[in-house]
Amino acid sequence: MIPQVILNGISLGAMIALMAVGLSLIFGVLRIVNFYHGEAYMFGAVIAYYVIVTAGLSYILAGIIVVVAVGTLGWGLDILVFRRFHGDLIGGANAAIALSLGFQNLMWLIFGSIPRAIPSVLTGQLQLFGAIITKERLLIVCIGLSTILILAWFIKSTKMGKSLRAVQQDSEAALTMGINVKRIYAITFGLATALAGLAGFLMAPIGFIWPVMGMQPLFFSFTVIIIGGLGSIMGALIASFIIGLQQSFTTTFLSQPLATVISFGLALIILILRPRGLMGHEE
Amino acid sequence: MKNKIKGSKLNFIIPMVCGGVFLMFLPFRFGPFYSHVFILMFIHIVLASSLRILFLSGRASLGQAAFVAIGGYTSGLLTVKLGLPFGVCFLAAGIMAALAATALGRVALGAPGAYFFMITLAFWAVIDAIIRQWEGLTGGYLGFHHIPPILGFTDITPNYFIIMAFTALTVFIMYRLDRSKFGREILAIGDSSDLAEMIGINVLRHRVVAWTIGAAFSGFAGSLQAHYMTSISPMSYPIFLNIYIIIWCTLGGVQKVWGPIAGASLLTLLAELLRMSGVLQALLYATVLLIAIMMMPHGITGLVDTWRARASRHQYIGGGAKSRTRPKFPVIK
Repeated sequence: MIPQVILNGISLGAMIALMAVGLSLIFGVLRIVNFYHGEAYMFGAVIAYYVIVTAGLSYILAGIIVVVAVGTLGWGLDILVFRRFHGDLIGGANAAIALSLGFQNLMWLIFGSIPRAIPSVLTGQLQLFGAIITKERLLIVCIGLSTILILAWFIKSTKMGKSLRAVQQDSEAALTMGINVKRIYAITFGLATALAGLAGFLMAPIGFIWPVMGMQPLFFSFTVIIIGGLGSIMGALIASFIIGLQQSFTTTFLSQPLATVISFGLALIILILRPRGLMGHEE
Repeated sequence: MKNKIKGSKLNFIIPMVCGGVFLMFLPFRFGPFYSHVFILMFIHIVLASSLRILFLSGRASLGQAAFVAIGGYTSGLLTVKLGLPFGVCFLAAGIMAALAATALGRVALGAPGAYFFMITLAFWAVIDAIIRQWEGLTGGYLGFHHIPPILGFTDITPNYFIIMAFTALTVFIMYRLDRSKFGREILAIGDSSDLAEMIGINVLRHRVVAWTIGAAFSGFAGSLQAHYMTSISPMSYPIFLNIYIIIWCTLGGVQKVWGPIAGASLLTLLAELLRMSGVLQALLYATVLLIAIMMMPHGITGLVDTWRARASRHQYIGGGAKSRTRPKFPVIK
C-alpha cells in the first residue's frame, strides 16, 4: 500500500513540477503572477487532441507541435500584453486573468463543453518495489523529470540561462551589461508556458480534455510556489513533490476535497513559519 | 465671493443630484428587472470599495469572496437555524468576517505583497472547501434555501432602497475614512512603508485594520446578498468573484473614492449589456476587460488625472506645480 501511495505521489509531483517551475520562473524574472498558466496547460492538451485525433498524426509530432505552438503563443503574448506590466503585480495579474477568461470562453465555443479523451500511448503495467504503475504513467514521469533536468542545465550553464538569472537578480544591471532584457523576458514567458503546454500534452492521455482543465493544476502550482518561495526554481521542485506526496496520502487515507484544504493549510503554516517560503531569498 | 459655490464643486454636485434622482425613481419607472441589476450593482460597489483601503496601503487581496461567503453563511445560518432577527444577523455577519480577517491578517500581512496576494486566494479555497464539506451545517454543494428576506420584505422595491441606503452609507464611511488621519497614514504607508515606519506609523497594525474594515464591509454585503437572494450555495462565491472584485476595484482606480464605484457599476452594466450577444457574452466581456486593463493601467481615475494634468498644462505654463498632491496608484511588490 505505502509504496503505491508514494509512487502515485511522485508521479503527481513530477507533473505539478512541470507547471510550477514555469510559474516560478515567470514570477522570478517578470514579477507577474501568471494566471494564464492554466490556459497554457489546457492549450497543450487541446492542441494534442486536434493533432492526434482529428489530424491523425503521431504522438511525437504532436509533442513538438504543442511545445512550439504554446511557446510561440506565450512569446507573442509577452510582447503584446505582458510587456507593459513587468513589475506591476496587480496589473499583470489582472491582464493574465482577463486573458485566461477570454481563452477559456473561446475554447467553450470552439472545443465545446463535452470532456474528450485521446487514446493511450502505451498499454500494460509494471511492478516496481511492490507497487503497480502503468507504463504510460512511468513514461510521462520520465519525460517530465528529464525536461526539468534539461531546464535546470539550461538555466545553470548556457549563456542564455545565465543572462536569464542576471535579469532575475537585477534587470537594470543586466541591461547595462548589454543583455537584451526585453528579449529575455519574452523568451522566459515563452519557455515557461511551453513547459505548461508540455505538461498538458503529457497528461492528455490520462485525464479528460476540456476548457476548464487548467484550473486544478494552476491551483496546485500556486500552492507549490507559495511553499517553495516565489521565484525559486529549486524550491518549486522540492515543494512539488511535497504537495504531490501530501495529495496522494490524504486522498488515499482521508478524502479528496480534504486534500485541497490540507494543501492550502500547509502553505499557510509554512508562510507563518517562513514568510518567504522554503527557498525564497531575502530581498 | 464667499457664498458663491465654486465651479468645480458644482461640477460635482450636479451629477450627484441627477444620479440620485435617477436612482430614486428607477424601480418605479423601469420595473423589477432593472431594479435587480442595480441591486447587484450596489452590492458590487460595496465589495469593490471595501478593497480600496487595503490597496492604498500597498497590499492586494484575491480572497475577498471568502468574506462575502463568511458573511452570507453566518447571517443565513443564524436566521434559519436560530431564528434570530435580521438586524442581529447582519451585524454578526460583519463581525465574523472581521474576526476572520484579523486572524488571517496578523499572520499573513507581514509577508511580501505577492505572497499575501496568493495566501488570500488560498484562504478563499479553504473557506470554499469547508463550505462544501461541512454538509451538516452548510448544506454542502446544494447550499441552503428559504433564508428570510431583508426585514421581511418580499417585494423587490423595498429591498432596492435598503441596499441602496447601505451602499450610500458605505461610500460615505469610505469617504470620511479617506479624509481621516488613518486614511492619510494609509496613504503614507502606500507611498513608502519604510518611511511611514520611520515616522512612527505601525505599518502592520494599520494594514490589519484596513484589511479588517474591508472584510467587515464584504461580510455585510454578503449578508445582504444572502437575504436578498434567499438562498446560498458554494456557487454564489465562485473563484471568479475574487477576480471580479479586484478588477472592479483596480479598473475603476484606487486613487479616488469614486474609482471602485465607477469600476463596479460600469463593469456590472457592461456585463448586462453584453448579455444580448448570447453565447459570446463572456468572450466579449473578457476582451473588453483586457483592452481596458491595457489602456488604463491606473484605472479610470488615473485616466481622468492624466486628462486633468493635460488640460491644466494648456491653461497655464508650468501648471503642474500647482496641482495638489494626489494619492498615487500604489505599486505592490
